[in-house]
Amino acid sequence: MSRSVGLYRHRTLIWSFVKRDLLARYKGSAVGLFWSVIHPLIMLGLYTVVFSAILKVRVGAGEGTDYFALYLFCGLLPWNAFAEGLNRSTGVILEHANLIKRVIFPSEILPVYPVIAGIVNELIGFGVLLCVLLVTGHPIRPVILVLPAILLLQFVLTTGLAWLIAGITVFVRDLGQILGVILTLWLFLTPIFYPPAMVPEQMRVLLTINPMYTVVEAYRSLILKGQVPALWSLSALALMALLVNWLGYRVFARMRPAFADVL
Amino acid sequence: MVTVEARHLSKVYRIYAHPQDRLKEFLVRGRRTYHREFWALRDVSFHQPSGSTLGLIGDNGSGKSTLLQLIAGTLQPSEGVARVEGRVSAILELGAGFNPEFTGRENALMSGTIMGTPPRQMERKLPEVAAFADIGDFFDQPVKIYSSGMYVRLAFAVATSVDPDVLIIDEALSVGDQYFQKRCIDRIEGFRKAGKTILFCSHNLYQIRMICDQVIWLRDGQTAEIGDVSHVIGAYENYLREREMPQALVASENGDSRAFPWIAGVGLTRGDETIPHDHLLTGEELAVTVQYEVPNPPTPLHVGVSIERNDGVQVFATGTHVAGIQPSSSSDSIRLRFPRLPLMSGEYAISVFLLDEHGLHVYDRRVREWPFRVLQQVRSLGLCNLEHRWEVWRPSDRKTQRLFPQESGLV
Repeated sequence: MSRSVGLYRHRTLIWSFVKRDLLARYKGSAVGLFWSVIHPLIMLGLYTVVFSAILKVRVGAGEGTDYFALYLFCGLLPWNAFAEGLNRSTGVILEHANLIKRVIFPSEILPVYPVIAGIVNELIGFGVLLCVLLVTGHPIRPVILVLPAILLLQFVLTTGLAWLIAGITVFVRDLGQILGVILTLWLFLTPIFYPPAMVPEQMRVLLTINPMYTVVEAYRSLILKGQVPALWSLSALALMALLVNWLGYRVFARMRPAFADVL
Repeated sequence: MVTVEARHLSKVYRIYAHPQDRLKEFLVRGRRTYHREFWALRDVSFHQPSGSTLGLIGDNGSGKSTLLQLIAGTLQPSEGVARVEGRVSAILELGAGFNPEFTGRENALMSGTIMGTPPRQMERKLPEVAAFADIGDFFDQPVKIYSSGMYVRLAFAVATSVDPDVLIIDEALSVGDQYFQKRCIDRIEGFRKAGKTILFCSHNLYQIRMICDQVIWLRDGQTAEIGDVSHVIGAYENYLREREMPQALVASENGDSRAFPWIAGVGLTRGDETIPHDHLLTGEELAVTVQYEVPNPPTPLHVGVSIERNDGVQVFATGTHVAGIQPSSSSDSIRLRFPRLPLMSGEYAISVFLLDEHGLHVYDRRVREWPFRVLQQVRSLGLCNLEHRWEVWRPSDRKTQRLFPQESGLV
């Protein structure tokens, strides 16, 4: 657990990186950070028009067509944060080569800050979603308070993978290309565009080993259904996240001394 | 007390012909090697007492930066140990981690945080940083609009705003204008006076001489000399001179195969005498005869001659391009006369250069190869017997307001 202590010790530095990352994205634009609110609003509006007004997609027999836009949005928010964190982890060490080589600096925080930046954007998206739900009269239950726990699990899982990918990509740069393919497959194999009930019996095993399925379902059940997700699925997710995190950090720490030689 | 210690430090790099060779080698697990080795540093040991300043000198690529990076801990040694006590701050690259979109203030804050100063503490130091960088209102402008001078000033101000026990500086001072370099030196001098341990690498031997207590001369990754400042710098300067000389000699030996003009010989004589002479009296005539060879086709060239005293002071230098003379463009000789050499007693040496038709590119150079000695019979002091005369007002002549020059002419 020394690495969590390490991350906590560097919290101000990590936060500085996250802040700079978020600010840099909108640097020089007139409304600045406001864009990160406008983006999810536009996406949600677009989903509503396309899937609910034009295509008239229904999640289940009992739900109205307006529900699908919310369902899709709620699933895409955590996925985008996850995919963004991993995609950026492939380049984050190369991007900061001069820090690695020239500054005495805890490099383990480099793969972490894009993950947090992604999660901050996810939170903004959730904020937008909750506002829309409140305005449209959708009930919001107190179980929403469990949400930070899911966020934490998602963070632990993503960070572990980000360390793993960031470490390996320094030596095997092709991983960046491979990851793009893997993430696309992963996105479509996770019930984000379709409800899990539609997955055939023989493919169910793919869902049980997919931690992102658990994450996405947990958010949906908290926000849209107002139910606490099954405890066993959360425990399995927690176990997997911790395992991936431990493994990812070990690989990263093992490779780190050689970074400066290859960059 | 020792704060910095290196024991048998070595750094070897594996050079792969192709990126995929690295992967192959990893996959076969050492059963076959796909790399060749490059030793950037080999078996360097030293110990540096707390509060002292260690200088690193050596040619480019001799391993100075590698050694500093190993001490700083940004590189891992292949062999040996580097041990540092206390908080280390390294200025290995100015402005590492600056983001051009952000203002100087934002970058200073971030950069300080990256180097380990908590943001709140760094915020308190910002006025001091701004004052040292001396970039005025630009401090609150994006770094991308900075001139390169402003950039390094800000970067140096940030880098030295931290309060380290051990400061590692890699040629950071070779940037910026004279004024800023002076302030950097003052800053380092301040650190030194405050009892900080400093590791310092520079090509400026004068700075090294002024600042350091101990010097290491690295040559091809190995310690060539270590120890007392004047001893090591002297040895290095010798090496620099010797390295220049053989080139010139080699050039003369297989001269015929060369494409450019070279110096075939130089003679020092007194006036028109034919026998070589390297002892002169102040005021005698010195003639420097330069013989040069020009390969075919004939190439226009200029001849430069310089006189230096044995402490390196350049007394005089001139060339045919300065005088507007065009020497023969095929093999020939040319003579430069100093009718009344005004040098005072001392050891001097002549350097000769062959330059291109613009007087810019040097075809051949022979530096301080022809020494001569001057003895003086005048009783004045200094380097040169300048032409002069005294003028004295005589009280009896006040009425006529005339001045009677009292000549004390040249000897």
